Amino acid sequence: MIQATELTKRYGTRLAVDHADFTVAPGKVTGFLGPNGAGKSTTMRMILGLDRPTSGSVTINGVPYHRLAAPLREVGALLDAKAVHGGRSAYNHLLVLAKANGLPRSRVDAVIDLVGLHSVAGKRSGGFSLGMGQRLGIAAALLGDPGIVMFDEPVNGLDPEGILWIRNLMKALAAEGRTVFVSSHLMSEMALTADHLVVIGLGRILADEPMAEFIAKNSVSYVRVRSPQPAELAPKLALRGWRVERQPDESLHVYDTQPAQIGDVAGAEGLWLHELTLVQSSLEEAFMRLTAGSVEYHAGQSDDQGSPDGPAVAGWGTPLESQAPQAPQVEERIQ
Amino acid sequence: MTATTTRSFHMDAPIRRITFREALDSEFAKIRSVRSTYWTLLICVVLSVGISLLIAAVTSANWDTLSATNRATVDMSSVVAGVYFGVLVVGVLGVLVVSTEYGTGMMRTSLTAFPRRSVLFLAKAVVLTLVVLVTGIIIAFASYGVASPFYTKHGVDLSLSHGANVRALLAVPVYLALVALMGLALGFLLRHTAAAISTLVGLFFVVPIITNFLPGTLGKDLNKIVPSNAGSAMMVTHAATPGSTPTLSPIGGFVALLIWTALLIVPAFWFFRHRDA
Repeated sequence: MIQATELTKRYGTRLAVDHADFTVAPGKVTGFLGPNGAGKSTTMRMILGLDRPTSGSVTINGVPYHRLAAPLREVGALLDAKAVHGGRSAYNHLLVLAKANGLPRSRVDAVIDLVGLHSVAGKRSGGFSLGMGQRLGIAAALLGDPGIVMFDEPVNGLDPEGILWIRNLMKALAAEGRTVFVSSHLMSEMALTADHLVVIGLGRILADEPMAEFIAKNSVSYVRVRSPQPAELAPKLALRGWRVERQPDESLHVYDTQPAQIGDVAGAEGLWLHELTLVQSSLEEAFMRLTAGSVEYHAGQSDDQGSPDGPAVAGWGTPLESQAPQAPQVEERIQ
Repeated sequence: MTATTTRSFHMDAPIRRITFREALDSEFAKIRSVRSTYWTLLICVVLSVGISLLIAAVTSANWDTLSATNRATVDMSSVVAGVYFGVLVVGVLGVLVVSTEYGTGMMRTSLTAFPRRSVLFLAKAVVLTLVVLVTGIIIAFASYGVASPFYTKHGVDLSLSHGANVRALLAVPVYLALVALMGLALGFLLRHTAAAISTLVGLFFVVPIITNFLPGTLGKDLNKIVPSNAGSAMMVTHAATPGSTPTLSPIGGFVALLIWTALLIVPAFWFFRHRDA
């Protein structure tokens, strides 16, 4: 259990973390999601006692990190896979850490076994590939069989096999009842692994809720309908209990239903349809909307693009508006 | 592909609170497991003993041309004269022990495993001191072994039955250990290998040049207490000779060097405890 209370970190005039309150509970993967520079790493460093909070506090199982009896037995962290002395062999790196917590040598062998580094254990870690370095970092994190594991952007730069391995590892660790806290700037990655979501933007906690709730709340989908007779169609659709919004361009946004059902209604009423499009905002877009006001560096784009209110934030998978509205068409958008 | 289950590696042993002992074990494991330790120590021994030997051979060969005043200054400090260069190498080791951890990010990993900073700092200092003391004893007695015959054959009394001679030899490991600690402190303060080594070199080789040329008694006094001159004074056994550059007494040199070390170690300790890692 990790508990942050009013956790704040100020660098000069910049608030890196701004009165963050959140709890990371055992038995599930908690995703820590935020754009680059949102304060994820700073928060994780404060959890580990590496950085001192300007105000507020964060505790591990009720105590500050530096007061844990044997930290590696309770928390395993991978903040930066490159944070090893490259001149030391993988085995010796793990041995140094094991000795710091009075763990037996057998633990070093056990974690080397677990992450599959036997063949290179005696080699200096400076020559390791990113994937091997990541495995070494995870071996170090699991050295003391900790009840809490923390990974900062663990899949960054990994190949598909490595990504899959880490995803499965995190799920397995959570299934064993451990507290798994993992940061990412990719919603798509979180959607695949996290059970619970803590969203941070410009140092502020923007959401702290179960993944299912976040999805339900944020993944809006509606059907865009264009008809030469919108004034007649809209009431007919509303009659079915669907929410209908008339847009300035005379198209209709219909919620709580599917394109086929709208087509059926229109057909039964003898009304013309020129477009019938299922528009689904992906979780990535939901995340971008949520953090839109809190991104540290915007790419150079004009204000009307990627506006927080627009259903389709600029990016891949945006319905092509240039497609002439024609016969009813269904465009399933890929998340 | 590795199995993703972790059930096979559960630990049942009860959690024991980490103490100074664990920090010490870990720091020993660290210093043992990188090549730079062996390189710097080897270079330190070879350089110190080699230069001591060289100076002894040259002095012996030119003995007849030396004035009586110069002959009177030949003592145990001449036997271990190479240490003048060796100190810088152990200073570099002291720097590296810390700065490579900052340079690589290992310090954050170390602190995650052992977050009690003052204990970790102490463990690092103790391990470095022990390693350098042992090296210093080897250097002192190896230098004595190879260099002293060149002086004794000219009648210089270097007998180890004299307390002063033994004291001068044992000053070598102490001098080296204090300089290593100064390097360690600079590593903690500057967190950067090149910056810390440059500062150390400046303190030992540049500052004495400046103080040497300062006029008046102030210059002379400052020159006495710069680290290299204070350290060298620790190994002198002969009485001060008139006309030569004034130096501190051996005990004075030791105290001066101790103060230098404290001036660096105390802020290093404070900053290490309070700064973000």
